[in-house]
Amino acid sequence: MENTEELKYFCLKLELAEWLDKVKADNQVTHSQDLIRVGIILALGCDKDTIKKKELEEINRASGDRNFNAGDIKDGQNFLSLLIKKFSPANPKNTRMQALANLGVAMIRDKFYDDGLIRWDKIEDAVKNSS
Amino acid sequence: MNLFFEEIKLKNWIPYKGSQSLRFSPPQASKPLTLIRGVNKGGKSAIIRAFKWALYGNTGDLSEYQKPLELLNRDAKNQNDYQFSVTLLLNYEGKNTEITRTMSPRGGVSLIKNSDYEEYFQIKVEDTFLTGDKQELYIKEMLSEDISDFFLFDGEMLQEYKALVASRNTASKLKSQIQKSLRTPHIKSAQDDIKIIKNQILKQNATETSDKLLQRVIGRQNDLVLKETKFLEDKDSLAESLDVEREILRKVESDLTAYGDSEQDVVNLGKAEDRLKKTVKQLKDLQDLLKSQASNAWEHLASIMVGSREEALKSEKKTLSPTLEKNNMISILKNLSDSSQKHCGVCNTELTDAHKEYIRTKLQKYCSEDVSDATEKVREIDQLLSKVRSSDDFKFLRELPNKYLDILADQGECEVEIENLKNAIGASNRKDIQDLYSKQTECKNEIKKLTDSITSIEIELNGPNASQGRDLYQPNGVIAALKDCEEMIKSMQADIPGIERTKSLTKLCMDIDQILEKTLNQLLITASSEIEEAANKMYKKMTVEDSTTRLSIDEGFGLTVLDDRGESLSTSSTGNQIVALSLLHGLKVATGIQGPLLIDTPFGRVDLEHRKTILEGLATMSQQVVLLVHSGEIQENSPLEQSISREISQIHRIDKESDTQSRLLGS
Repeated sequence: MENTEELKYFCLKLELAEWLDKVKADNQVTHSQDLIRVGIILALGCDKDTIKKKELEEINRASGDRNFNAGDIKDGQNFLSLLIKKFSPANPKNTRMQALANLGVAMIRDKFYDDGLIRWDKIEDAVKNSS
Repeated sequence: MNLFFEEIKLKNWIPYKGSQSLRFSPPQASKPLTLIRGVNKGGKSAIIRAFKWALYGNTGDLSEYQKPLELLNRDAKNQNDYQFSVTLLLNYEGKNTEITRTMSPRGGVSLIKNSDYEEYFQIKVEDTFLTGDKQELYIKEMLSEDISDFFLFDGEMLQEYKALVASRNTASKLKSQIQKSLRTPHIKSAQDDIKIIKNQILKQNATETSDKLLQRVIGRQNDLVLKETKFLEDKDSLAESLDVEREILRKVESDLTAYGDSEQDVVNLGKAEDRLKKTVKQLKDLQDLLKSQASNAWEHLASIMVGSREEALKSEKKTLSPTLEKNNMISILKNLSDSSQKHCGVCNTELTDAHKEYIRTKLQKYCSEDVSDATEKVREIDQLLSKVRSSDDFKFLRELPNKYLDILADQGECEVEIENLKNAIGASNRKDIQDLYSKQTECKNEIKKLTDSITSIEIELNGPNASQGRDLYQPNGVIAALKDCEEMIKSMQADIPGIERTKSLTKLCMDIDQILEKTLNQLLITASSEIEEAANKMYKKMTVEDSTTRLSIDEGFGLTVLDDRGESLSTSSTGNQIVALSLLHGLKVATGIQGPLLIDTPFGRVDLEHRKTILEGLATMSQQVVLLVHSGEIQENSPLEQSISREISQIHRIDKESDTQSRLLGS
């Protein structure tokens, strides 16, 4: 059985991490992880090839990207881990959370952010239609 | 009173930097008018203030121009020239008089504050300097501050005349000022003396009696008198403070009106700033709500995601159920294959070796299939499906952008409006107007407090709900209790020896009091009719209409315009001004007090048609009439100026050189 708990840290592209800082500074969210979780759920709607392709992308501290503690992203009931496990392709390197977070946050920034506001209505529609 | 002004010398006085002076022509019946012309806010009122300050040590203002640094010219201050002074050269009863008031900071102080100033006051009559109390007496006799408002005044104030006589407190102040000009306070003072004598006689009689009960009642009466005196004193003092506050409020409101459109702009600015605060607060509340909802948004979205895949998950679970059955079977077979088991746990049949062999073969077959994680998979599916909710947690987040953008747009509009209003008002005006508004609020609060205090004193005095006096006078008030005491004392004293003498003495006192009262009333009635007659003459002179209207005076010296049937008529701004000037003239005639007239902005609210007749009227009111006018009131070389040119002895000019400096230019 696969173990998602192994992943302790994951990296977010610097540009995305900085964008999250801005959204936080604009008082749209309390913590960056609030949006990362939403991003992960959005990314779970992507096709498996896209996720796999993202997993192969080089995203790490050495490239200047920012580290996040995976424990901060996971919820107490491990529901998010279960979602990831259930709805994303398995990968021996176990870098799914990182791939999903980078994919999802980029989606929010690029598709669901207008006039300095997160468009929650569009996010909801996107999740509804992702199946 | 024979008084006229010869010259005024100013040094660093409000807008007049350095030493500047104005000479006035000697009084002439044929050419009594002197015009001093200047633009608005150019320093006209500063001239009146200079006269008042030189004579009385205050400018007559209640809320400004009271502190030395408010009176010092700003540019002089910036050049560290802190001394300022006003000198009046005048002729009083044929004697040349020089009055100088100077404010200088104490030596050795580097950063000058108001408290660092020292005042020097000097009066020189011919070649003699007056000292000590003589200075005060001299000013009082020449032009007492109490009646100075009838000689040195702001023309705009004449508009307030009606409100002044309509208000109980200010009317009594006006009446008191008029009575002072009629010298009635001397009679009043005699009346007070008689009352004291009468009380002393009664007291003397009381101390001589041996009747304990009577003594107790007299003791109570004394306590009540003390209470009454205390309440009346407090009430007077509060009423005085109330007058002052109302005067300040009136001045503040008049100052606010003078700002014209800017005043309304400041009101609108205040409203816009309040609106901005409100939108900022709404935005902040919205952001807080947004943040709290955003932190849980993922759960809702996860629920939607699982919900949209609910059928697939259920179908997956269904496909796993045969595997689960197999797992169950494996568990049963494992149990049966156990060597210690002798009987079947379900049907209790004895398990033979052949049975066990069959079970082992079956078990081997089932275990060759990969069914181990089916239970875990079903548990996960159940866990996922348990999160599917039908709540509408996302409603707020869906609606947020529109709400947020609406408020943001409101905020933007407010900011633009505020910016525009600020530009229109100008920074200095805004501060001044805001200061005036805060003063207005303070005054209104203070007036409310003072009025409440006076009302509560009146209740203690007159009942019916007096609450502070306990057994002494509760609940009907001090006055009713005193009356009761007097009645009791009267009946108890009937048998006391010597009471007849006391009675006759007190009666004598009461008779004298009544005579004085009558004299006073007679004097006021005579004065009233004289004032009315003279005022009517002036009124006819100043009105252009061939009218049958006339003025009628009431006991508070209020003048009313009546038509030919004796019914009162309302008056315009011009009418108010004419009525007030007529009253002034009436007072001067009735009291015999003559002297120069110095009027600031005499025609601010007078229509063009009446300016000539009013000017002609003013020319007959005194032999020296100094009018501080702006060009809109009497335009240079205008037909109005030409029509009265024969009565004008001099025209001076005030040149406003900057916001902080003006120059006096002689004719």
